[in-house]
Amino acid sequence: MTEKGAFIKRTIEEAVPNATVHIYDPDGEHFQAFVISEDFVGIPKLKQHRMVMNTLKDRFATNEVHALGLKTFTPEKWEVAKSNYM
Amino acid sequence: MDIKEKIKADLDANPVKLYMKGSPSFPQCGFSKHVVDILANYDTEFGSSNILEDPEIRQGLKDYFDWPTFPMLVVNGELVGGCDIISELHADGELADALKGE
Repeated sequence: MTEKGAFIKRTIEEAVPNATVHIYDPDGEHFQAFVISEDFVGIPKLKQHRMVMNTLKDRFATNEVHALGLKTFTPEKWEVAKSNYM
Repeated sequence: MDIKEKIKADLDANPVKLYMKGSPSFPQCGFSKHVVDILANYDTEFGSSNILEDPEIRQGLKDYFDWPTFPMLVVNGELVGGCDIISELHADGELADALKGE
C-alpha cells in the first residue's frame, strides 16, 4: 500500500468510531475503501458515507485525493458481503 | 441573490438535479460519467450543471449539502448521493423510488 493509501486508512480510522477499514490501493491514485463500523447500525447510507467522506474533505478540495470509491457496512452486513470483496 | 439562494432556486426549478463535472454528453470525470450512464436506464428527466464552469457554485454546493465531492444527485432538494450511493441504489433496485423522491 502507498503512503497516500495508508494516510486515507489512518484518517478514516481516527475519525469513524469503532471502524475497521480495508483499503484497496492498486496505483496510489485510485482507492477503494471498505469501512465497517458498529456505529453505522441504524444510520442511513448517505450519513454513513458523509461520516467517512468528510474526514478527507480538505484532501478532496486540494485534489490530493480525488478518486476514492467507498462502501460502508455494519459488522453484520459485512459478514454477508465480505466474500464478494476479500 | 447569494450563492445559497441561487442553489435553492436551481433546485426548485429542477426536481431531479445532477451537479457534475462536465455535461451528460461530455462528462469530464469517470464518476460523473458513471452516474450519467446509470441514469440513462431510467426515463427520468433531470437538469444538470457543469460545476467546472462555476467555482463559486462548486464550493457553495459542498457547503450546502455538506458533501465533499462531485457528482451530486439531488432529488426534491435532498442530496441522494454521489457515485457510490447511486451505484448501490441502482444495483439494489432502489434508485427508481429514490428518483421519485420516495
